[in-house]
Amino acid sequence: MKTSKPFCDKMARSFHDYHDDELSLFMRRVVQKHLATCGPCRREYVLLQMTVETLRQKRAPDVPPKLLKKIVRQFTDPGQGGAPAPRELLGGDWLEGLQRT
Amino acid sequence: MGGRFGVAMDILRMCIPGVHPSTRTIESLVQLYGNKIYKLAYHMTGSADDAEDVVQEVFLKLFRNWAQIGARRNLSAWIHRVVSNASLDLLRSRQARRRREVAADAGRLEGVASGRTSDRPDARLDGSELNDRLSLALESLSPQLSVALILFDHEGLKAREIAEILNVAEATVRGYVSEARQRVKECLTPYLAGRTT
Repeated sequence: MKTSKPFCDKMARSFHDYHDDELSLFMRRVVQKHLATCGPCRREYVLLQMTVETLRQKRAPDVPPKLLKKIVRQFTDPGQGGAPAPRELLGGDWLEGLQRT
Repeated sequence: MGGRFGVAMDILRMCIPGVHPSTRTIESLVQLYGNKIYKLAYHMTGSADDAEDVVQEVFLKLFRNWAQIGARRNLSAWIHRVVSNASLDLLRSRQARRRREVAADAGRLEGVASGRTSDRPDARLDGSELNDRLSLALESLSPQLSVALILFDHEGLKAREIAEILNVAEATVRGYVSEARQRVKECLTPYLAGRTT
């Protein structure tokens, strides 16, 4: 935090709750008013908003399809160490039966 | 609980608690949740290999404990908890391993501290400088801070829900999120500052 005034430091500690809408109405107005008049704090708050937005948009690769196939095989092939094959346990696909009813 | 894992609730409602899931249910759940679980684990661990391990662990636990989980009918909360705990374990063991390596190689300590090197093999996967920097910033956080931040800001979970997952007080979660955001913001500021008006 690059603010210098004690009041700015106090306000800066409320920025996260302000961003998450966790402040009381009174405190929310105090922070709003301060942001409207203090350039350095406004800059810090904008950086916080951008940081959260960057986190929200963080990208990840898709799961390798081979992994999903491997998992399905692991749990549906009898004798592979996964759960017992349900057809053997239930005498048919009970989910299909449920869907028809 | 956040809506990212809410898609398969219809399938869950059709499941009979106490009975092993059918082949078709297994296929549907893996298809519906596999990619989401992988992405969440990737965000938390920053590693494709670790994310694969987490996906396998989640489905192993899901199908082996189907009776209890099917009865609870709150798969979203359960998935977030299992992915978080598995990721925390991986991050902690990685941190411990790194400490041992750093102790053995003092020269490497400087690189880790300055964020120049990464144990995350896929940190540069998409080529975006900002995304890379974000990965490094997350890596520099403690496992608890990193997982809390991903659950809060990326997954959109509430502090109360994260508190249950991490087994800490709600106020502690808010403290984790504030501290983590602040530290990530400091890492990203050189990249974001030019975009402010």
